[in-house]
Amino acid sequence: MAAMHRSGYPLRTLLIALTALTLAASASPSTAHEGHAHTARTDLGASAAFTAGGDLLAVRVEQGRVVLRRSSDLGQHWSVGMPVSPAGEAISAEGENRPKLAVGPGDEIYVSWTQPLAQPYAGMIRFTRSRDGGAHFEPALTVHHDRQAITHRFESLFVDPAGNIFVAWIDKRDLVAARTANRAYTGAALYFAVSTDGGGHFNGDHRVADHSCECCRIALASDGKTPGVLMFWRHIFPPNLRDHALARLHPDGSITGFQRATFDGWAIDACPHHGPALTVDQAGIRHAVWFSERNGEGHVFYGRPGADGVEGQQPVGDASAEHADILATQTTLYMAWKEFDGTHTVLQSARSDDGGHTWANATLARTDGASDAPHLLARGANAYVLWNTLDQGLRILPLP
Amino acid sequence: MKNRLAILLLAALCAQALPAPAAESLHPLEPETATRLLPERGPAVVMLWSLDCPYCDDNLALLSRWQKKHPGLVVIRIATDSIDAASAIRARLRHYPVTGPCWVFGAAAPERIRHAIDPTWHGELPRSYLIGHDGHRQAISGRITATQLEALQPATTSVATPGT
Repeated sequence: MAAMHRSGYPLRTLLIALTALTLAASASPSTAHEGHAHTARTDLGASAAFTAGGDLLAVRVEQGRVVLRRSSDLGQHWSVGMPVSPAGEAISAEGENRPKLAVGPGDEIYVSWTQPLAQPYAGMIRFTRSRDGGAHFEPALTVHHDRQAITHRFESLFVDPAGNIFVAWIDKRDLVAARTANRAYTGAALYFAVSTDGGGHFNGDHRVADHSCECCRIALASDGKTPGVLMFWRHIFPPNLRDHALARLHPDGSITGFQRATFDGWAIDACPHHGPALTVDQAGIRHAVWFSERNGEGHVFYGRPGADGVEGQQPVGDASAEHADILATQTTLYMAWKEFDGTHTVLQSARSDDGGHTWANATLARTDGASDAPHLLARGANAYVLWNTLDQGLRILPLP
Repeated sequence: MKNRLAILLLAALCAQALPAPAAESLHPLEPETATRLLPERGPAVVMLWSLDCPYCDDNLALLSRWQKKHPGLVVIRIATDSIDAASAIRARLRHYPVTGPCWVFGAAAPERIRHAIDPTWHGELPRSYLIGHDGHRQAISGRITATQLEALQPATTSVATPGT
């Protein structure tokens, strides 16, 4: 054991030195052409949102910190990067993890992220805000009151029409308590907290459900003008069916309408690392995309989860399709996802002008290297996709 | 490029400076190698895992226990995390001592490496390929069982189940 430590130490030192060299070499001054990656291969998770004035904001990890950039020309030029997370604080931005960004009704900028801890699967959900358009960010706070060094990860961030800030996350406090009491516990739990004072502090922690999947992103979506938010996630239904569930979270911490929302019956003790997405159209109809296995075949699906099961379920893209997002504008539904053609990762999109019954597909971009999942956003009637790739940096593409 | 250099240096250092426990040596896996990583014949288990996967720990623990009793079982582990997580990967593997090579996803896009291993795999973890002494191959997503490992041995070939 001692020998292990002795031999491991200089290696780590060298790695740190090499990493520092790499970062120093790639740390060009921030210029109008920024948007290119300073990130590790896997730390490509990014988020974007529009301000009320139509500027685009984006966050991602650069040189180990969450960095905010602004663009007034849809991503052709980006501002100098503004670090918003504390120096030296680790950030999860690989796979389904990414820093999140939301804009409040008064153009407040809210940013959240998961800080991974040294203990396996452990993390803290962190939050900061700017009330001067991103010129300054307040010291980061930890959203949850539970401070055990356990799983609080895969957070999602949402601002409802009344300005309430919702943060929901995957939490293992109930698993830990069950293990201590020598009881069985399947999966993880979901918790949320709400800030009703614009991010000054959070009320919580409110449990949404026991037995969620452990490592899939959570979808939060507005369903109109009422306060609160819809939550859509991969759950574990007995005995081990990794179908999805829906519930409505309220600003007072209550939960209503918990229901099973997908019925593919994927029975598996594994981590899909593949969370869903949800949007609600003008008529109040819910449209979802998710990955599941059905009759032994893995696929991304589109469907409309309702009170009596899923309407209009159909596969999205080819067999390699993954990490889809979905968005409703006033008139149109859009989807975007990644495919792999054997050589390149291809960014695909689809639009539907008849409420999700028929779709027109388009190929938007491709890349040779690693890439984040695509994320959809709208400005008025126009829809865009954010795609952060290692080779081409932050890109914003209009959806046809 | 510099990342690649760091990975190569790391690999070289792993090979030289840390020869003792197999769990300490991490080799970056690129698509060219990934296409020919699965042995033709077993008994062998190729297991993909990641730091973010509680069920992977169950499989690593089972393989560790099983190989102690059946040293003939070839075990190849592949972490889908990046080499940046090398110290955490090593720390996890130390809990489950196994003899056999340890790979970690390299610099190529993860979907390229996944495709090179198995184009039908969607990235769920753990993902295991069980290869019998007769070359029969079975892909399993999720937990593997002692019964499935038993079936890889020559004496029990008749109970091998068809691939998923």
